[in-house]
Amino acid sequence: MLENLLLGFQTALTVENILWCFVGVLLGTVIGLLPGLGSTTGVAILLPITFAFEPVTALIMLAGIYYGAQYGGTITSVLISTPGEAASVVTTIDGYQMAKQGRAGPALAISAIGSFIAAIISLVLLIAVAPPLATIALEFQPVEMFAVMILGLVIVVTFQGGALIRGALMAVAGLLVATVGIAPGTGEERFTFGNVNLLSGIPFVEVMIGVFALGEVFYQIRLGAAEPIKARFKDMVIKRKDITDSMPAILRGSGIGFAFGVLPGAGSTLASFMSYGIERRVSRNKASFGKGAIQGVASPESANNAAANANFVPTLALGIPGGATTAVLLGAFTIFGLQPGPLLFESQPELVWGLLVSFFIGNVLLLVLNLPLAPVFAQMLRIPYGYLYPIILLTSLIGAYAVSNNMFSVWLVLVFGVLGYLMKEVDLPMAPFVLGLVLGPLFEKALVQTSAIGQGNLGVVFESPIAVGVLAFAAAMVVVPKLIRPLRKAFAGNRERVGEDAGLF
Amino acid sequence: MKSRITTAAIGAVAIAALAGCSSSAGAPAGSGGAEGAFEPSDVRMIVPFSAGGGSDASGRAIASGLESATGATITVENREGGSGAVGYSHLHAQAGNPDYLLASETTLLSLPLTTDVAYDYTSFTPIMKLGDDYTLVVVPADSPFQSCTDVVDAARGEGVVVAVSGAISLDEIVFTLIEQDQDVTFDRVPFESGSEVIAGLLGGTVEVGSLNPGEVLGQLESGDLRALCSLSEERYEYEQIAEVPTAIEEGIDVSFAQWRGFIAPGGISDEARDYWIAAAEEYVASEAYTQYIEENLMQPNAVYGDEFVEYLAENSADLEAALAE
Amino acid sequence: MTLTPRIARAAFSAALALLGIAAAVIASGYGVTQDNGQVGAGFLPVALGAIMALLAGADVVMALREREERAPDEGGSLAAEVDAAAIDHVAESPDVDALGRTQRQRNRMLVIVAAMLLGALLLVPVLGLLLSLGALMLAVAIGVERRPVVSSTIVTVVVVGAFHLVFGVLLRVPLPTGLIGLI
Repeated sequence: MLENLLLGFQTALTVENILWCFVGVLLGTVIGLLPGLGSTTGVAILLPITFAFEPVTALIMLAGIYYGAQYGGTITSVLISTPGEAASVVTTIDGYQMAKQGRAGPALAISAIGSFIAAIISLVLLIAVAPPLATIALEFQPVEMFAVMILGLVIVVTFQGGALIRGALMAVAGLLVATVGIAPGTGEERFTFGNVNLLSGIPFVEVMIGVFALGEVFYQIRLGAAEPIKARFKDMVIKRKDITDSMPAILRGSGIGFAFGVLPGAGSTLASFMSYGIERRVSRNKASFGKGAIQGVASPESANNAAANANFVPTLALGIPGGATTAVLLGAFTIFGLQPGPLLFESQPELVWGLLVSFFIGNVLLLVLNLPLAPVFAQMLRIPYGYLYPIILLTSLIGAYAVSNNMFSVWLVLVFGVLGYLMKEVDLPMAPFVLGLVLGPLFEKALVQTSAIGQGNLGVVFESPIAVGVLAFAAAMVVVPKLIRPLRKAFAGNRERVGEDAGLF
Repeated sequence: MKSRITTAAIGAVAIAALAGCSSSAGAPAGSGGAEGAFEPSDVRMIVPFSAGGGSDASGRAIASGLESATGATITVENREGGSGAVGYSHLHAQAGNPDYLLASETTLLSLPLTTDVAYDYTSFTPIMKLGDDYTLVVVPADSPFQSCTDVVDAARGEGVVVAVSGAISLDEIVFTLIEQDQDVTFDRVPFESGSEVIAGLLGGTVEVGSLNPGEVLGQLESGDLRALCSLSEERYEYEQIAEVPTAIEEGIDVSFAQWRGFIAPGGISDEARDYWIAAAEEYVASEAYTQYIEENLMQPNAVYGDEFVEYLAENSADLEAALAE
Repeated sequence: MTLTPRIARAAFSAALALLGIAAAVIASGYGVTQDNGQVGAGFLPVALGAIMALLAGADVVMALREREERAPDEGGSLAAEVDAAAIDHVAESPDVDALGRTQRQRNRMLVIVAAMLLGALLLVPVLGLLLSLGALMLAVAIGVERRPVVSSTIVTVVVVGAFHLVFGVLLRVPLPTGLIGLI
């Protein structure tokens, strides 16, 4: 173990590798900043540049792009309510509220700190227990994933609090939009109306840009100009209290994120909102969730970073990609003449351990880069909105085009921008809609597979202990708060004080 | 009975390989770019499947091979969805644009046969077949099955659950051919990629999968999965899988080659077509081609242009027969 | 009837309900189950369409009922309601914003920006994506937000240039150049 780590440090700590690691995280941050361009696209686009490098150096840089993009995606989510990555959708909820209250600096800083802590925790886990964890991950087969998807739906529905019915309505609408295109399994075309662009369905990145970025611009125009945010530089710097307040959220987020990241195909988006959904229920500060709670930023940001690292568990230990970006990275392995698979740890120790150690270095670089930059980025909000929103319009539409190099995407953004605006006007929650859209294809795949495994009988899900456990947890998420609320009301007052002093973590 | 598909394929490959050799000898590689009016700019190589799979690997290998051959920049775009229909439809919509290419394989033929799509192989300009890729029937290490005959017997008895990646994918075709040859039925669970199938096998959801050797070599070498038989005409010559018997040896008369290659949109100029064929020939002559073929344990039988079209016509007719249940 | 927030909410949800029903009807044609009894292509959309119709229907009822109960308490902003109804939008507040623009002006701004956006997208085949969006930016800044011409132009040129560098040159995204074919 120690030997391996030493080997890893020897490999990663060369001037060349540190330099390209830095280039990678920097490029990743920039790519994450641009709406529409996520880590998958970023790694795929920049892959050819690395062909000239040594495999280790190339993979270190590509991995740097991968987690750098997770940081970058946060910045626009917080500042202009435009998620750069699907995994940052959830961050917009509280992050943007914080920015509006002049606390963009702390929001960005806590996400950098949370991401860093999550990265380190998940890396230690990754290095220590990747092979056994990968075996456990394999227990999550289609039937178990079907249960996980149901849990995901439950969390989405109850996500933002408020009226359950309206959250559910939006989640279902998102799921319904996700059924557009060719059906999994049977290959039937659905709701395409002869339009080839719709065959692959309505991509959530365009919807995300439309609903969040454009919808917010339209809404702000009608709301009118507010006094520019007058925050002193002092307020832009994160305080010690912010960090201590967020620590439980960061630790929980890291754990939840890691757990979901290990499951092949679940990924960081699922991890980020699962974490937020759970945090909103257990946090001591739950009342201010949705209104600019710093834990509402810390939790999903830690989770998506932990998940990004955990994705490497099945990737390195089994040769099965954990998510879209690690799939591209696996492709890169093959291009460099490396055979991904369970033997990688043994046959290429230098490469694997060098790569893992480079994650440490990359995350340290990102923290060093992002912490001082947070207040600087936050100053962007001093630009008058009259200048800012035309720039947001241009950025979102060009970003949308770059998703698939297709004008159809740009029109989609406009359509969903208008829809997003209307949803805001009638006060329908948008996050469940987008998350329903993200979950839809995963849910339907698991549904079709479960149906095939049970030969038409979905009841097979109750034959799997893991699936039953997950479903029980989902049921508890719905039922328990309803039972607890009257109890808590009865005990209110002194109990809360005790809870605060004892702490949950 | 010999599988008609393989016979036809081998025949076409032999003729085409000869033709391919002679044509590459006649025309100096890369000359298309020098004399033709066509110069590629900002070329896109569409991969109709998600990143990380076999199609993605071949798309990226071809793209980088063509990049060195032409000096043009070729960007790989994964346009997955609908078992490949999305990527092909996208290329179909680019008719006349010679700066688009698509990393193609058997779904080019199988999709139009089974799904209501607006194209078939005649809608495109086939450029090159890279080579053939057979599949191995694989099971988890602790599976009771020791041979493909065991699998067929079990299917005749209590039933066998097999993995297929998509309703009209290669493994679907392979299992259908076995069903037709042996008069049995398999229970299917649909997946969306080779790596998902591997996870399904390792996790015990499915008992049997049919995967390209290149996709599954890592798990075979580590001993997590076992290959029962290869659905190829002859045994493999690659040492790692030379021991694996063919299904034909076991009395299951099925062998099926998946080809890989690339196509351009329909309606492009002859200059552009010749340009890409010349570039493809140069790629095949390179070290990178041999390396790709060997890494993925494929058969290096490239064909170009018209011979490729002929090959497609025969392969399509055979597929149609296989899919008409 | 004036378009109050609650009526708007009810109308939007009613539209969603109709959409759900339509989706369920269309999707039933895709086959709810396959021949072998397994889940078919229409299964999920039919179920989701039906659930969406139910939830949206319930929301319509809730929205309308809330209005009946609360309408008297909500009085006081009658002027705002009339104002909002006149321009067919939901009233937010009759207040004047930080730049001294009334709600009516801001509503008009929104319509103008949306129209300009549509126009800019229609101009893409002529001007190309970057130039038409740049033109949109300039038009919004000068025409709608009344920003100084010189600074607006400088900001626009810088932003368009930066995007050209990042997307066009660095990432090699083939942005449509239109008939002009400039950038």
